[in-house]
Amino acid sequence: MPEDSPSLPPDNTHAATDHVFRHEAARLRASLVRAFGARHIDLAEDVVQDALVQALKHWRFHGVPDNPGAWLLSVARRRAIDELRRDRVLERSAPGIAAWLGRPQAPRDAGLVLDDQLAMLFACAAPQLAPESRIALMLHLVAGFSVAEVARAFLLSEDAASQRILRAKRLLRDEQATIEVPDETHLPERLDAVLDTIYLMLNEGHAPGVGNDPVRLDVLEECTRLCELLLEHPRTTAPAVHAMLAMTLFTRSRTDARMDEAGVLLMLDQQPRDKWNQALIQRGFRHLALAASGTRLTRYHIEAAIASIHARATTFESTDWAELLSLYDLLVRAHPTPIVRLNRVVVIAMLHGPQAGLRALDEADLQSALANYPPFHAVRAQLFERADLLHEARAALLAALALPWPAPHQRLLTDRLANLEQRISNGNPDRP
Amino acid sequence: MSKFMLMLFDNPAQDINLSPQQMQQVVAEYKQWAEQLARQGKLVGGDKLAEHGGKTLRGSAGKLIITDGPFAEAKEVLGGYFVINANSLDEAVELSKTCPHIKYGSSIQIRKVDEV
Repeated sequence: MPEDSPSLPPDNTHAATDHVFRHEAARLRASLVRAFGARHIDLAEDVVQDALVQALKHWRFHGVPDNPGAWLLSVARRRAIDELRRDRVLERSAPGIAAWLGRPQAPRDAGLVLDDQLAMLFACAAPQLAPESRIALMLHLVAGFSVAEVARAFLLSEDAASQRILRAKRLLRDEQATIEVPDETHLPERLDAVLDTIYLMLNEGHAPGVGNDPVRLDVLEECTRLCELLLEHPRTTAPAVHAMLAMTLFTRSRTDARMDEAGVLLMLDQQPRDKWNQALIQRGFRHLALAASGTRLTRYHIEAAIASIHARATTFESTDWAELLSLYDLLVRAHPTPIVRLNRVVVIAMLHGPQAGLRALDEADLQSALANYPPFHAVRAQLFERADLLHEARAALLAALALPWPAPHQRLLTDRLANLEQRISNGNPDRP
Repeated sequence: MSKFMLMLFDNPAQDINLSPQQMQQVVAEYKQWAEQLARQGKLVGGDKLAEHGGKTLRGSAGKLIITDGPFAEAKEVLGGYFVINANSLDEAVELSKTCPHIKYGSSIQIRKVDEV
């Protein structure tokens, strides 16, 4: 794949809305938290929020200034000076604040800003935090999402999201977590934790049935931005990061095709592929090529390759199922989770027919592991239906519908059930 | 054509809970409104007022009394102003109706600049 050859389409892959407030807030917050120390994370956040409110009040009258970051920074500095004046103890407990105030203010050092953000990114993937706290904190502290936006991205109540973020911050504060990019010995392992968190974030952003909720789309965009941040720094750029970015871009390329005009969710075989964003797909392939170096084959490499097979197929029918199966075989070895094994069954069924799929499903023995995973039952129903085992299909669909689904999926399954019952009453009335 | 002053009152508690994304939206709406007026040649100017350190001067029984305030913590504070050109008070009201401050602030007071 050529690097940035002039024949590539214009890069219209960045979002139409710019996120000055969100991203500048995130940059400022990272700088302050790092300078003040994890112990004073709340103060750092107050200072940032205060600077944002000031910005709101000024910019209403004069618009966003040419250098919003510098503007916010100078307001934050003034506020930090006030805090030091007000609280003499603070100066001793947080020597970083005075040191930060002593830093030359302008021009802002882009490298330093990047360091601050990466340090924050690693702090949010601290080993002592639970996975769901890591994503919440990353979205909030690094991506600049408000608590309400985090709540919407996770389908949580605002209270629950706020509790989750508060607990995570308290943990960082109480353990006096270091806010630095880890040293060479710890970097690989900590980078994996960062990538795992971005991966979870990608799944949340792409969760089925939430459709084109702008907050969800923003989550996907942030996944891209976080990968790009990692790639910008010589210490944190790694083939696995390119793989993660490729996967993110392939995933994002399909968002416009995931629903029809009536808001009905479209599966991979029904999506109008001309609505897939080719610019994002091309960027995906570029990063996939860059991922193919080094000695480590991570699961993100394999998953990016899987996503690329779909991205490459111009029609569902022309999907290279054989190649997909060999990739899934690799993935099952590297990362044998029940969901990966279920996806492999789907590919087997596409390649060798529904009977083979049902046999593979039996062999995989996923019943107990995935009994509460709604797609498990939906996949079973589909395999039974394709094998003309309509009663079994109906039972599986009922089992699927007994579990909670997002509304668009629920609609899809209800339609399928009605359709199936019609077929049963037309075709085979005697069977019990 | 006369000048009118639009005094924008804020409720200081209101802005605290906006997300960065919402702030971005609010600022964009004010900008759009002001630019639209500017294109019609109706915008004279506008500014934010400082929140702290205001003073009130009052004469009482021949003595000057200077007090602090008004305070930014009050329920309604004058946050800033726009000056616009309009043919009549009615037109000034019409132009102000679309000001996003109606949605996001607490109130707008319109006063005609008096010309004899």
